[in-house]
Amino acid sequence: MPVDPTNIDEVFDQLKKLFNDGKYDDMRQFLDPNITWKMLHHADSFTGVDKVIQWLKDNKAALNPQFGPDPSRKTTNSNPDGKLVEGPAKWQASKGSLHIEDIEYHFTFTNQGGSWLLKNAFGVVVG
Amino acid sequence: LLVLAAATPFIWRWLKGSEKGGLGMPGFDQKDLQQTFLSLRDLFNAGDYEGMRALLHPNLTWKKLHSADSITGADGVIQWLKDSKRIPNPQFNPDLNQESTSHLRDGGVQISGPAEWLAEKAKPKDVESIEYNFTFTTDRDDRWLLISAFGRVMP
Repeated sequence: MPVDPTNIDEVFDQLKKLFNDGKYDDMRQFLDPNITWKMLHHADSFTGVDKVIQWLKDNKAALNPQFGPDPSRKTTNSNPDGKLVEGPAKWQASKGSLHIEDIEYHFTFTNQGGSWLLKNAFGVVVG
Repeated sequence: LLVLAAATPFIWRWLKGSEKGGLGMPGFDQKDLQQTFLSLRDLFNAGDYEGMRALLHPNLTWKKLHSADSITGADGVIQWLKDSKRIPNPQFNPDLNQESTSHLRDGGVQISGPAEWLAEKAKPKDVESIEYNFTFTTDRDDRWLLISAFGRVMP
């Protein structure tokens, strides 16, 4: 069933699925060209969809990290120029690893021509 | 001579501060993370955006509070602050009692917590509750630099 890009929940779920499946190139259609992506365990960020996807392909393809947001605690709030989707999640830096971390994610989406695009991805490890 | 003698300790402390932090702020030590954080707060609240430069990493990413946009690079951030924030002179007042610190794998440190945000200093009633998350890293001289500034308005 195709994803409705005007439905922010469907876009969020599809991004999660593509990320967890390691299909980083397919995420491009849901990413803003000027996306900023903060690395979870490092101080650095990446800006620009090309850099973000290349970094994912170069550094995450083998590890295939898994992002598991808690759907019951996901919240969506409006910003003047977008929406902030956030909540707690489980993070597995490497698929199959026994080490699972609790994180909080804050994803900011913008609406362009009716479609929702991820513009800012920020996350922190908690606990 | 009496005035010079009385002022000597203050001048000495000022010079000492200059050596440590490069800002000329008495007693400020940029190798101390908390002092760096508080100096950034004070400089921001004073509207001294150029003065913040020594505490910002060249590749700083600054997420705008009320927008999806971010600004990348210390030069871009400072110019945006000068162009957009000089007159409203926003005020950032973190609750230091609820401040928390966490360490990253690359040696970076995140300071986060709740804060009060005043978009315009002249409108003290329009205060907002926010959560901030600042990531700091060190330069080759072990001085702390802000490399990521993220904030969100509490719903």
